[in-house]
This record gives sequence, structure tokens and C-alpha cells, in this order.
Amino acid sequence: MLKVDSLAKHYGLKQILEDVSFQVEQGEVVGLVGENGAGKSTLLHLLATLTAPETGSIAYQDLNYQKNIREIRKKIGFIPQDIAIWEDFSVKENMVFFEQLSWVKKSEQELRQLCQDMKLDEWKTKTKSLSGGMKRKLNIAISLIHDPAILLLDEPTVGIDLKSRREIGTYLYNLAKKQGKIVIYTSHDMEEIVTYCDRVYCIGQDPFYQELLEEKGILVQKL
Amino acid sequence: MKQIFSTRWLHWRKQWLSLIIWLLLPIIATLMVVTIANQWQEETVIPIGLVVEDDTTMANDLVQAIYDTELIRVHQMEREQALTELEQHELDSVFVIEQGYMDKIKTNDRKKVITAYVSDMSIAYTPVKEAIASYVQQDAGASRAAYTLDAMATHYNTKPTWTWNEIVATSNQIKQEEALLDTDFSFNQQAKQHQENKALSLWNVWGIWSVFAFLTTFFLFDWVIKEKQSAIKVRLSLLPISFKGYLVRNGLLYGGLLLLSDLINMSLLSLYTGQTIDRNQVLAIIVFRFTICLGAFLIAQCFQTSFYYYVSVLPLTLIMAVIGGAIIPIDGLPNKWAWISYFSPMQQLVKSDSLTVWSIILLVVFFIWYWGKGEKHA
Repeated sequence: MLKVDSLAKHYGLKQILEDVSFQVEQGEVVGLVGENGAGKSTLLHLLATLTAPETGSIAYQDLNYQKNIREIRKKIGFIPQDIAIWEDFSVKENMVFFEQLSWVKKSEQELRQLCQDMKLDEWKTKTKSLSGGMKRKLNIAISLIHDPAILLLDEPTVGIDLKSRREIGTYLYNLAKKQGKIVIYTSHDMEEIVTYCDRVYCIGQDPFYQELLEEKGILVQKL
Repeated sequence: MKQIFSTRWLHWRKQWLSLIIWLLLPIIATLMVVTIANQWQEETVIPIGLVVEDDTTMANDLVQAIYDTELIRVHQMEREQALTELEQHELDSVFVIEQGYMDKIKTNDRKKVITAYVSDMSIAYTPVKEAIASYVQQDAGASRAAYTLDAMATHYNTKPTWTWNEIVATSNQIKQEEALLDTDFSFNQQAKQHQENKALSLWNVWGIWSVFAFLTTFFLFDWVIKEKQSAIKVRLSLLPISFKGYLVRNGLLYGGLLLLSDLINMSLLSLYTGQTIDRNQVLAIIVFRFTICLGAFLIAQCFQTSFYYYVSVLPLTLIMAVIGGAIIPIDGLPNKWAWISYFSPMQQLVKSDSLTVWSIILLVVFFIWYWGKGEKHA
């Protein structure tokens, strides 16, 4: 279980997050919605240990974030909003590059299988010549190399076609349900949120997203 | 470190051509500059006319000495032809070794032994005249010694057991053995050695090399900015090693690669200049390499975009080269204000120093950066 308690974070004079508390069980898919600048990405960065909160605490199972940062990082798979791959490398080279630096060692066969599971069949193709959807899949596959228990995705399907979006959504959903991983992701696509998320948290003051989802019969909790 | 090497190797394989060009640039550029400089020196020697009207040993020795003078191209010809060419400004000046040169020197008569002609376009008459006058002075000095000894023998009514030639030869030998002024251009303060290529010695080969090595190092270290700014930084921040650790290890790999390239450069330059390299020079190269890699690494940390980094590197290289005495070694700024040279790591290489203020300062800055804010949370 991932437990977030009374988190607060500000940048300069602007308070981004204030007294944020929630918890996520193993195998749950949680969506984070809210207007731009509401603090969705900031919350993901806090959960990914990329930044530290001013107050509050985060714990995964018995591990406190502040005290066990190294252990926590082993369990986190963070997929940034920007596609974080080497454009002049092939799919294989990208996978091998990050495997070499990863927490765990994987064979080339295992890496290839991971890509195939995501329906990313290109292996030796240069990533700069891949479609947007394929690049997004590779972006996720790289973050899964070390088999993380918590997946944090910052708009993982933005700007890609519907087919790729569904493939990615289904894959993430299956990861949570079949392997018991925690999946937390942000999205502006309400269709995707409705289809794949067990629970939705709304961040920010604007009630638009909350009302929109509640119209669709989704219970939205305000953070 | 093995993993870092494997991942860096993936990058290098993609950039092999540009990497090789950058690694070879210092040696290629240095050899080009030195070759062009030598060629230019050859082409810019001063043409003088020499008319020899005295066919004696002493006159012939003087002619040889003039021929051996650097930066002078001697055209030996008849007086009439020489004066015609001087009028046409094909010669800078004309010197005539007059008939009876040796006899006059022997009899200690130094008037009109050499006649000089100049035109209104002569630009190097004075230094050439001074050089030739100094050769004549040498002959006259030796001859005067012989003349004095002979006079003393006559005065004391003894019969000298030596000839005039023997006295002159002995006098010249003593002068050579006890030379007060012994000028010898040497490579990095190395012990005096015979140099086949004297023109080359006028240039500080290692100084030129250090300028290009400095420039290429800074350009090669642009990877720090690219990887620091890329979206991939987020991924690299969640690795078993910290992002700073990742950068430092890659910096070490680049440093190692550049050092390997330096040692190859060193061997090639050594072959080219025909000089051996001692342990101090090897140590100086290692310290120089360490210093400029560390400098490039830390300076790259201050930039957000490669463009401004590149723009800043060029003037920085120029300033370091000038204050370090790397490209103006004779009358440059370091000779006016010695302290200023300590601000350039190139000075350390040029002087073959192993320890520099720069390496210590940069190490301190490095540790402040490494243990400073941002290590725990990338």
C-alpha cells in the first residue's frame, strides 16, 4: 500500500499542494485529473522521489520515503511526460542502455519480450523513425525494465492515436490487475480515465473535471 | 563503471566520426600551424647581396658565417650585379668583403674591411649589418690577440714558438668553450639538444598544442549540457547511481579517452620535433588533462544551452592562450606580468609544472558541487 499523508509543496510564493492525503492499494489504477498547473505533475514527482515535500510524509508498505530513498527508487517506475529516449539509438540500444544502468539485469531476450508485450515489435529500428505511439510505448517499456511495484505515469498517452492509446491503457490495467502493481497516472482524456481507473483524484480548485466525471458516474475524490 | 562504459560506448559508436575528428584535431592543427609557420619563416627571410673580393681563409669563413645566419638569404654575386639588384629593390642590402680583408684584420686595421650598400627601401639593414659586424669583430678580436702576443714577444725580445694561425685558432676555441652568451632554443626547458629544424624551435609546439587541446576538450564536454537538459535526466535520476554520479563517471571516461589521445599526440609530436619526452613532461600532460577536463565539466554545469557554451568557449580559449604564454611565448603578457600566467592552465603545460593552482581550485569547486544541494533528490 502507498500511503500519502498531509503533503505540502510550494514553488516560490505559489502553494502547489496543501495537506494532500490519500492511499492506494496494490493492484489499483488511480487517475489524477485537474487543470494545467494544478499540481498533478508535482505530486507525481513527489511520489517518484524526484523532489521532496516541505511537510507530510509518503510511505510504501513499511518503507518511509525520507529514510529509504534508495529502496523506494528500486520500486518506482516513472514515465515522464516528455518522451525520454535517445533519439539516435534503436529500440534495442535504448533498452540495453537503460538495462545496463538499471537496478536489475535482464537478458536481451527478456528486454525484447517486454517490448513485444507492449506491442512494440520494432527492435532494430532507429527511434527517430518510430511513430509517436511507438515512442510512447518505448518510453513506458524502459521504465518497466526493473519490474517496479509502483508505476507513475505523467500523461503517458498524450498526442498519440486511439489504437496506441488503448493498447497502452489495456497493458497498464493488466499490469495492475495481474501483477498487483500500483498504477497512478495523470491524463486529460476522460474516456481513458473512465475506462481504466479504479479511483480518480481531482487536484486543483476548478470543479470542471470533477463534475464531468461525476456526470459519467465516476466517484471523484478531491485532494 | 563497467556499465557506464557500456552505455557511453553506445553513444560513442553513434558519434565515432566526430569523436575521432575532435581527438585528432589538436595534433593535426598543431602540425599544420607549425608547418605553415616554418614555411612562412622560410619565405620571409631577408635577401642580401654578398660580394666577396678577398679569396682568403678568413674571408671564406666570414662568408660561411653569413650563410649560416638565420633569417637571411644570401645571394653571392659580383658588385655591379648586386648594386643593380639593390636599385631594383630585389635585395634588401649589399655587403662587400673588400680585397685584402684578411691582411687588414691581421694588421689590426679594421677600416673599410666591409662595405655596405643600402637603398631607401631597405628594412633590415641595421640588424643584418650588426650581425655581420659581430662576425668581423670576432675575427678582429682573435687577430688582435695574436697581434698583441707578437708585440709582447718582440718587446721582451723572445722568439715566439707559435704562428699567427695557431693563436687565432686557440683564441676561437677558448671563446667557444667559455662563451658568455650561449643561446639555444630548447623544447619545454629540456636539456640542450641538437635540433635539426631550427625554425620549428621558434614556436612553442606544446603551447600551440595546448590551445587546441583546450578547445577540443571544451567542445567534447558539451555532452554534459545535452544530458543535463534532456528529458532523459529524469530517468537517469532514478538509477542506482545518482545523476551527479552518472555525470562524474562519464566525465572520467571522457578524461581517460582524452588522456589516451594525449599520449598518442605526445608520441607523434615527439617524433615530429625529434625530441625525447621525459617523465616530468608526461606528468605535466596528465595534470593538464585533468585540469582542463575538470574545468570543462564544471563550466558546462553552468550552462543551460549548448549554443551559449560554445560561444563562451572561444574567447575563454583565446584568453587562456594569451595569458598562459601558449601562443605569444617571447614577448607576451606573462613576461610583463608574471602573476597573470597563473590564471591559465596552459602555462603549467608550457613550463612542465606538475602542480597548479587551477587543479586545486577546480577540485575544491568540484567537491562543493558534488556534495552540494540536489544530490539526494535529483
